[in-house]
Amino acid sequence: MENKDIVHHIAQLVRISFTDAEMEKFSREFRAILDFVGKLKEADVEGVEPIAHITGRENARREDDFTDDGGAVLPKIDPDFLEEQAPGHIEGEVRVPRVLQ
Amino acid sequence: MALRKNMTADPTKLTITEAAVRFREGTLTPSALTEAHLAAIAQRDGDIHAYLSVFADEARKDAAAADRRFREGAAGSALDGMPIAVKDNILVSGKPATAGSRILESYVASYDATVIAKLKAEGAIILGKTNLDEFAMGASTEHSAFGPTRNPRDLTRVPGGSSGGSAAAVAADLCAAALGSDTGGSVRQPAAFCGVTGLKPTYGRVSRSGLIAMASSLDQIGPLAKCTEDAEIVFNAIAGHDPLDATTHEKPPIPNSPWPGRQSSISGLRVGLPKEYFGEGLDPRIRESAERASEALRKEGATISEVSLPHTPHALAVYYLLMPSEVSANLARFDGIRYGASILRDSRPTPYRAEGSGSGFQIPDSRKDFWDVYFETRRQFFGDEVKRRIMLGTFALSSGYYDAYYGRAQQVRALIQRDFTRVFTDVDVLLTPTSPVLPFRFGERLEDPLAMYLADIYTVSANLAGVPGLVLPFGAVEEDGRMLPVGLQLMGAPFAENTLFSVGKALEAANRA
Repeated sequence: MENKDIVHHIAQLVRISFTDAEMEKFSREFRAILDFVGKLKEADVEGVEPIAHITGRENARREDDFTDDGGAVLPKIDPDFLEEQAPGHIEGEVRVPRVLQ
Repeated sequence: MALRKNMTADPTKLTITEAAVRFREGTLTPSALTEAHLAAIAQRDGDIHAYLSVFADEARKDAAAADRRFREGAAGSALDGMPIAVKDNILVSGKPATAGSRILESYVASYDATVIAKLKAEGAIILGKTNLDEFAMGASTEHSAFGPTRNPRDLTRVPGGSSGGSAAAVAADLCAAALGSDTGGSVRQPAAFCGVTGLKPTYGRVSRSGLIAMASSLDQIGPLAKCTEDAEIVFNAIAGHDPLDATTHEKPPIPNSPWPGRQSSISGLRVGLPKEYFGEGLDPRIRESAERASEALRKEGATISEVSLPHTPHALAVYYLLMPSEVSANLARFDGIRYGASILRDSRPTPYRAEGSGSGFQIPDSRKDFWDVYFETRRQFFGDEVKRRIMLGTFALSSGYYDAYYGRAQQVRALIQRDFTRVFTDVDVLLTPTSPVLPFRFGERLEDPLAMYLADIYTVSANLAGVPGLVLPFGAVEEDGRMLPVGLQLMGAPFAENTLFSVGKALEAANRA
């Protein structure tokens, strides 16, 4: 794919609209950054396992208990407060635009 | 023990330890210190713009409560009554948390980050929230949607970033200490530029619960302070296991390094100078400062040797693939639907009110569909650098490019970590520059994203390898009639923060002599 086509495709994936001028600018900068990170091709990674976790931590398990005595107690949050943060809301539910036309 | 004898009448210049001694003596109260900081902010922050919000009323109330604890002899912690500034990507319940972005301009945090809960439990006073590059993406605070912060040492220069507001607030005595976050150098580089002390702890040492996520495998909250001892006090208050962050350790493992730390002498300490950090592009005046520091450590009984971290030349490329990849996933949550700015609300002056409770929105005549909310909200309320990184990360993770970019970067990251594991069998601590350049001027690097990225060249490896890094001022350089600070970096093995504090204090003593 041409650089410009790639950038158009990525813009769709990231759900951001761009003007033609912005698209032009991003394509140019994108190329420069890709040239820079492309240097990694020189690194010899034969047989190297990709890193999973930097401090070697295994899965952290806890009891499935959300009471105050349990392990993970999330801060208590007022549902009305959360509802107020949504752009559209009615009677405790978040309103969104019509999905199917 | 007070680090430096400070006889000045201005309490904002006191270190945490010095102020705590006065609180106990009764020669200073938390209220008096808080008032002094608020007055300094009113007087000087118009020029500096370190703060995005200041909580004067609540700070006064909390200070009065601390006054009472000291009067009644009920105060315990070293941070009791201490005014602290917080980077605006860390949640304080009921307060704004903009992350330097228009998309969170009117967002209000619904809970305290774990680090904030810990500071409050120690009696610390949350003074306000500080400026940053949008979502902590930048090295100058020029990417803040609310205007840049200026460097208190020279107002024509950037304070570094992304925790530029926190570094400037500490440097200008607008708080006793501050919290920042460090994904690729965002605590350490601004600490160097503003001439203060900053710590990026070991990954997994400090809870990230309540930190607005940028790149989750790299992010770590750390203190910015007037001296090493203060940074240590704040670090000890915020570190520890947290059930809300599964990467935190119940019991930090014993560091590989045999150096036990917490010693009054650094005799026998093995210091490594990684040759890859002293190559082309390093300002010779910064190199000279690092050489003076290593000589000072040698005089105190440390052994100095040149070491090698051979994969260092690849670190920046690895960082600028892995970080954007994680950014693209973390910032997908800003969709204009659940919270934050949205074209459904913010670009519509009179929203349609639905029947019953709450507010609604009108489907516009053009029959904009669901997708437009995503595309237009993200276009209008994200800045260019954020868009750039979301795009780059999505590309690196996309089908057909994943193996060549993201996958390969993860492999090279493993090699970088091996470099550090190996070198810390030979030495206890690494001494390096923090930035290849002195604080630069506004606009110098803004138009060229790659030039801005190069500011992180000496700091990203610590995040990639998960090791701690402490930055402290060591000397200053005169340029255009202003004295600009030089910040040096100490890196240690995972969980060896105590070693870094010991060496930091030795360097401070040498710097004063």
